[in-house]
Amino acid sequence: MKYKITAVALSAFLALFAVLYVYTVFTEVFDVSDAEKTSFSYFKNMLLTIRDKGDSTVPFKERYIAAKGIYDRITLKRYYEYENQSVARLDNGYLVYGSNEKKDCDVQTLADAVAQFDECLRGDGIDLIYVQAPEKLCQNDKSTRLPIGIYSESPDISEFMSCIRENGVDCIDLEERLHAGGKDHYGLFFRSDHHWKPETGFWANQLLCEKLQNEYGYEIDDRVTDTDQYNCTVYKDCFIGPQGRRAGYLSAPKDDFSLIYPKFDTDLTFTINNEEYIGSFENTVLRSEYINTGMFTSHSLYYAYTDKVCDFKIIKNNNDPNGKKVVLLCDSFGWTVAPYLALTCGQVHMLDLREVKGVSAYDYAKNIGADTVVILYNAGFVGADESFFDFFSVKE
Amino acid sequence: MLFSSITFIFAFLPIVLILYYGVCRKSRTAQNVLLTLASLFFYAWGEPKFVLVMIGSIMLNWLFALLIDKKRSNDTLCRVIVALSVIANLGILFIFKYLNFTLDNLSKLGLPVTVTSIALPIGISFFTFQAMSYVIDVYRKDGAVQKNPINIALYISFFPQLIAGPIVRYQTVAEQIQGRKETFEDFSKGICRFIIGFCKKVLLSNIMALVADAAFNADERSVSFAWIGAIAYTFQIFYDFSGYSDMAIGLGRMFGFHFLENFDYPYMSRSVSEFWRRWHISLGTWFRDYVYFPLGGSRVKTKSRLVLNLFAVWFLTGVWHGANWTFIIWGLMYFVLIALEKLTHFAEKLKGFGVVYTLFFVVMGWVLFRAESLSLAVEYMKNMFGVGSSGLVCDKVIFYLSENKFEFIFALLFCIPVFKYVPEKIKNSKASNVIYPLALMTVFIFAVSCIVKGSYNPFIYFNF
Repeated sequence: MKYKITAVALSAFLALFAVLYVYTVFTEVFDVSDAEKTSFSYFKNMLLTIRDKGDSTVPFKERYIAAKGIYDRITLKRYYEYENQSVARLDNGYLVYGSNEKKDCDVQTLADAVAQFDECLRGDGIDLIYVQAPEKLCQNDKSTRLPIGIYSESPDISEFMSCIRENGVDCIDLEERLHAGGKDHYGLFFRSDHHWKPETGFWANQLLCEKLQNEYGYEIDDRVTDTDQYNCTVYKDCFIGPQGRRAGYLSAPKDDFSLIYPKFDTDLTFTINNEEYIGSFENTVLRSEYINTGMFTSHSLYYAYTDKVCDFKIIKNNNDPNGKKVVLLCDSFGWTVAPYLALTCGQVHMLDLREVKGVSAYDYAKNIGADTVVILYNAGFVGADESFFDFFSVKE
Repeated sequence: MLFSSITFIFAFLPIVLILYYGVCRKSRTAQNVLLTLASLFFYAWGEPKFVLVMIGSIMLNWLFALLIDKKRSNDTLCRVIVALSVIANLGILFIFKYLNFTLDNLSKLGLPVTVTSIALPIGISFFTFQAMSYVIDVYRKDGAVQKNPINIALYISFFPQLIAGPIVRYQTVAEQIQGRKETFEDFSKGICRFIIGFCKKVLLSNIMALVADAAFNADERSVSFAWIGAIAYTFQIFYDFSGYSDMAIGLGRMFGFHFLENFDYPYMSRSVSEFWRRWHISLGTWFRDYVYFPLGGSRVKTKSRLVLNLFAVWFLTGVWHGANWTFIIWGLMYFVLIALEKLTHFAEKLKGFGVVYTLFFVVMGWVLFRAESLSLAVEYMKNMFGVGSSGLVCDKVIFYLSENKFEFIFALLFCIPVFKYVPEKIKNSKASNVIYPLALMTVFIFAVSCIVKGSYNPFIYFNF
């Protein structure tokens, strides 16, 4: 009897998914006109497409990946292997990128590139500040080690920062500052996403503003760095980042997500992909359309801050049109810093050097007459992509 | 197409089942035509041009068998036809599988030959052996000749056993091609067997493959990592191959076919001879019935003749597995061990220790089998015994063991017939009618989720 019950259950399951699968393949994979559908080449192409894409086109794919996550939890796995970036689970439930191969990174060469950039900029009267975001994995916390045999994707950041300092580059080591300030290291990060929280981005901007005001003569309105001058809308348990999606959403930790925006009046012009958005902080740099998009979408809630990856994003503060011009060379960690930084100056030009083509970072800063260049990278990206530290080449 | 692929699970199999039990249910001929076309489509999925090789093989052997049946009264002529069919089949196999290897070795010897690069049709060794079995069985009157080429096409190309066996001998299924009877009982047991095989492949073999590949591809390895890698490969090949066999047997049963078992807990064997009676049984019996017995088997007058017969079988067994010296040496290793066992009977005296002795050589054999060349196999074996290794233990051992501890435990556990020890009372209880389907469905969904996620899913039969 047990075999027959299994057979009925499985047959029903297969029949249902077969219908859904065929429907999905035919609706998602093919995009041809009705006229083409009758031709032999269409039939041939259809089979070739199914052969090439059929295994990755599965209805309820996210649910299956969630089931895989449950299976991994049941079998006490802590490492989720993926072709591009694998994820490891720490004892405290936080997910971090890791690899089972040690990666070598010549931090001295990277630090020298920053120093050379600094020297050239100084010759043009432009200041440079290097801001190093902390690594999500806390190297000082022995209770949250990676599984044995798994290595962090980040190089030794303390060694890198020593090289930066030795090269005489002005810098802010946020990891050092957070430990000195007694902050909870993991509390600064999402559990299921490699990014720091918007609150952390805000804190980083506070430290940067302090430096700009004290050492570079920026006149900064006290309200900009005062947390009491901001509204904070918290969306509870709504965010599962890419690390969580890799681990499977049912077994991944869910995060809260905050939108932090000023109580005081703001007037910004935000330019991205040649489109301009003019208005208040929350109507320009905050992209609230990414909130409540559901956990299964490929969109990250993190896009709520200045939108997706883009070569150039420019924020102009219309309340201070003649204010200082800052070029921010950053990865996505900069997205939660730049909007607040823009309130302290005239313009912030965000450049993602992976994407920028046709102009070098150095030429761009010179051409726009920048006052300050700020480099802000997360630890995982140091050494991960050489274009982050290539400030002089022009990519075509 | 692979059984462990989404396209097979969610499209190919349901569609074939619906057509088989729907549109074609009233006509056996229609059902056989459907299964044949589906099988050719299944085979053509990866590389369409090779389906022509298979169709050629089918037609050739169909004609040979018809000729034998027609000239039945002239035994000498029939023998000649059988010989010709064997030459033709082995010729096809040689061209596609061994020509590159032969020319490569001849060129290494300094002979002026041009090394070719002929692609290997997947499963050619399996379907060629089945085709040969057909002609020989018809000659031996172990099965009736098939006048209808569709029937013989179905026998040779039937998708469940097409690319990874078991090698179904014609006499086993001759009557089933036309006279099989599909029952819901068979269908139910078949589907359960299929799930078990699928889960063995995806949840155990694929995980073991990760560990084995890491060890075999490492630039340097510690002693324990080398052993863990070899043991992981020992599990990988068992659960992969027996998983495929389970799936094949299960699928066959869903369509009313009954194939013979291919594995019988081989890692419990107390001698190497016993291991080969339990491992890839269909290949072992094929060589026994079509090579070993015709040469005289064990009932020969001299020991040297026995040794020669064993040498022929094990040399051919090694060669059958792939065109590489590693496979030949692997086959010859078993020749030496089995010849020693037959001549001295020493394995019988080992009793319980026989399992250790057998497993030691089986694991060593798999290292040879898995390594890409003899020199790499020797280097790997040296590491296993501390020569040239990077210490005794390394991080990788701890990582792979801790990450895959359950897989290792279950892989070890399912090497013995654990379910046989479950009392019948429990097996047949009412609760089992709920627990069994639930457990099987849950494990199946987990296995499908691994495939959907894109977990490592290697196919290890390219050499066959």
